[in-house]
Amino acid sequence: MDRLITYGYRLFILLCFTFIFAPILALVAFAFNDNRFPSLPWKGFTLRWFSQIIRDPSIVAAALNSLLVAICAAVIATVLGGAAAYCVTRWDFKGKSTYLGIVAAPPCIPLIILGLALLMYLKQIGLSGSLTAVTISHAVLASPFALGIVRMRLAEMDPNIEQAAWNLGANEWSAIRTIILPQAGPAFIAAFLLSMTVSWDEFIISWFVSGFSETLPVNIWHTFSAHVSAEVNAIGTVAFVLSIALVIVAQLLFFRLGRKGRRAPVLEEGDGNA
Amino acid sequence: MEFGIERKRVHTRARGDARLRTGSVTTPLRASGAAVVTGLPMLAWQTAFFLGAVVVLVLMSFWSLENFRIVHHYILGNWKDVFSSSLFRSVYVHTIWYTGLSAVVGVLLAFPFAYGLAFHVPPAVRRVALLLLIIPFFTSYLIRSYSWTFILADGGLLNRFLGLFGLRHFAFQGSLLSLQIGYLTYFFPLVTLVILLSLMNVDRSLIEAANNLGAGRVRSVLTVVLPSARIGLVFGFAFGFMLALGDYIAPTFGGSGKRTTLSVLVVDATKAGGDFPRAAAIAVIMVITLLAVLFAAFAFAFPRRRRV
Amino acid sequence: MPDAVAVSLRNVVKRYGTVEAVSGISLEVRRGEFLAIIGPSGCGKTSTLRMIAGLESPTSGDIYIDGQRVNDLKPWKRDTPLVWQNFALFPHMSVAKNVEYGLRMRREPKETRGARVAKVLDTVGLKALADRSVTQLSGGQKQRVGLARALVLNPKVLLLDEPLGALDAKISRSMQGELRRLQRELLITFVYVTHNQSEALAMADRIAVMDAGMIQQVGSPLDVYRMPQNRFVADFVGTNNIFSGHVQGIEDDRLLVTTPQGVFRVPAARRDGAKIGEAVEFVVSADRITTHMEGVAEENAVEGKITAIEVIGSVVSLFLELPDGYELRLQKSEQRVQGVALSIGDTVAASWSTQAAFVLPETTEANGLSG
Repeated sequence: MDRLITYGYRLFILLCFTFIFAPILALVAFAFNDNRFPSLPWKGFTLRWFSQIIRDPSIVAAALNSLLVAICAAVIATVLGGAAAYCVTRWDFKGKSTYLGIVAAPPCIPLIILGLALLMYLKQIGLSGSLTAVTISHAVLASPFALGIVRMRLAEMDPNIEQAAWNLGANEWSAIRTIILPQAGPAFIAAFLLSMTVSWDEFIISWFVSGFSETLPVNIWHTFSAHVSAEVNAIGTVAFVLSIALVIVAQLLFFRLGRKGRRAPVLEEGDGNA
Repeated sequence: MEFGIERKRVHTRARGDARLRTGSVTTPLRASGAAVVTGLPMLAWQTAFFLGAVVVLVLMSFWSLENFRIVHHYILGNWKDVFSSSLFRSVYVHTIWYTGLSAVVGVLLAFPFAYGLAFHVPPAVRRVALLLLIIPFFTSYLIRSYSWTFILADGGLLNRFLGLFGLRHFAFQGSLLSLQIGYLTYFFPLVTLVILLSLMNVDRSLIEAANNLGAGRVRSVLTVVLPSARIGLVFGFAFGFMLALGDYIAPTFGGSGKRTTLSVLVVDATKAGGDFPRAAAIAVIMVITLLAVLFAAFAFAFPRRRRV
Repeated sequence: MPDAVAVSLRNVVKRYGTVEAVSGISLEVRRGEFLAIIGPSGCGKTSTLRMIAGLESPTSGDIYIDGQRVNDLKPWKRDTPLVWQNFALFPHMSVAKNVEYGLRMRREPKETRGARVAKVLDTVGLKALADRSVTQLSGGQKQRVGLARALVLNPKVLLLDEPLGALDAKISRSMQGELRRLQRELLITFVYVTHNQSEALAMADRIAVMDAGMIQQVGSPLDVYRMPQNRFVADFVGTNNIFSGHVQGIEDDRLLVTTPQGVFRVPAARRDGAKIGEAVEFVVSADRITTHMEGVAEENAVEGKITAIEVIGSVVSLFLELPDGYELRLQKSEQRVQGVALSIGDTVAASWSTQAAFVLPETTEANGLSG
């Protein structure tokens, strides 16, 4: 009876994962299908959709825009969020909760409202309708993630180590440079990669605040709301591969390499002057 | 609130040395250049761009659109227009219905999913599952929704699959089902993750203890698991509702003319007419609704402790 | 005997919010001495050490290092390296790089750095592990790296915060010997904090006993062990039996004291002008009490039932319950009790000489110093 229940659960789990990954898998599969309509029947394996999108200037331009925005926004987000993570980890101050509330709120607001608000605001100050606007907006959205990731890593670190560095003659900046950054480095990189992913896939805010320079999701939206085409599968596949790669690398960095000094074989006690 | 205060008292009761050893990492802030340099930039950025945007949004709802230009005087006319519109009222009600439904369905499906992952699979599988839940969250929701439209299309995968069994074609497009599938595509992994994390915090030995004391399997599960799960369930519902409320893609792809939601109204007002004030008013109403629902959900989940 | 003062604390108070961890202590650490600060958890000894290092600031009071007032001096500008209880080694660096760190921060040129690091690693016996990652070391090795890291700076004052706390007993004991030897050789001022009195008694030149944020007594190990100044020190250091009573009579150089456990004689030397009826507390160290079975009967005698016998190594502790419920503790080397049949429940007569008692200079008031 117990076995049956367990198997029942496992079957359900399988169905759920199928539901979750169905769109991804189907899309990737049909990207190689020599069929104008992304559906069965399977008409043979082909790479023509990929070659088509590479040769489409608007798609390439949009992809490069997305990449540029993603990198810039990720840099800003990581610097802002990482520094704030250090500040929040080290100090206690009045209004800290308010600080965190303001700083970490953006992902909690429905994106469409955030997009609308940013559009209006940036328009008021003359910054909207450009990739700059998108970059700024993505930094707003992604920096809380960076803050969270770096903060988690800093919280794991032995607090005495920084103090030991001061004690040995390092001022605050030297200690950050020689002790904190090397140790939290992987977390910073993970934060950067995740911020890139957030920006790369983000559609609705980009749609609101960008102008004639489109990001890739916006390009997809415009070009393909008009008509069905198998090219979207190819673009989607590329986008998925990039996102998934970024997430996996970030995960590895955060959980394996970032843990240096936590699990280590211990040598026998003995005279080191052997 | 009470809990937070209690914690603080215990903290200061600890003796000097003991406090240092409990791993209390933060120190009180005294004038420090380092603190300002590290903490201020993010605050400045978010205040400048995020708070600023929110403020403008609220202000905008009080301005009005005249002759294709925004007029900066503060009136309530905009709000009156919005409230008196029967279209708005009907869309509002429908939005709450679709959104609430999706959040409830999401939690109902996510709970057994998470439960199975928490208690019926080996730990190694669970770790992989966690990764598999995180990945979709970081892939493009837009593209996944596109993919679903192909799957659900008349000539698409699902209909062909059903055709194999001799079932006739379903018109999935524009149905309530496709709308719900759309919402789920957005937040199902996240809600599952939230519930899973809260279930993983359950102390399994307590379930065994309950069994030992004579409670049946179902009963021990309910009494031990449910309290912890409750938090996860409420957060899951909250996330689901929040994400669905603000979503534009699902109603556009999976919905149809008769399934407009507030987010569609917002986009229409903005993109088609440039009617920012109207869009802003709707957006503010959405936020207030969201806060009200979240507040109610958390009040339900964490009732105030009664004084003994 | 070194006269100069390396560290001076004057009326130092440290408050964390509403809690007073250090309540106005004054202490002088002489140059070149090994000073141990001992006390129970939460007594303020670690806070004191951290204030000397500059990692905490005193709420009030002054701290002087080598005559210079350092209250406002940042920790990285002080010359007070710390050896940490949990080692606090830099995990991403090798042993040599850890040891080198302080020299790097002081901008010592690269050429001389290497030589100094090598020398100090040799001193602590870690030469062969110079390039090993610190995460792969055992506890004792890590502690030696921490020590080397501090020593390489030739500091004015070396601070040690329960450095042996995380090590097992055997390693701890051998490290005690090494620390003592190093300190004597290098003549560096050590300020050593621990809750373990045997470490302090074994290594220190002077011991400061702290409780509840205040210094209870400062003196040589022998002073603190044999001549505690108040009840707390008597209780904390050594194994003392503490008696409270009143003066019943005065003989030439002795006082007759009546206590719930009986009437006893104590030396009067320290209580000139004692009056009848005055409250008196005195201690008798457990190792100065004999049993009737050893064939010696001293002046002050009691009778009790054995409630417990503890054997730790070659030391035997006997616990006697006296008629009024008082638990008397005796400590003997195993040899003494060999051949004497003792078991729980036996009635034993115990006694001690008058000279074995030590009268506490301060009597605890009703709600006194410690409880």
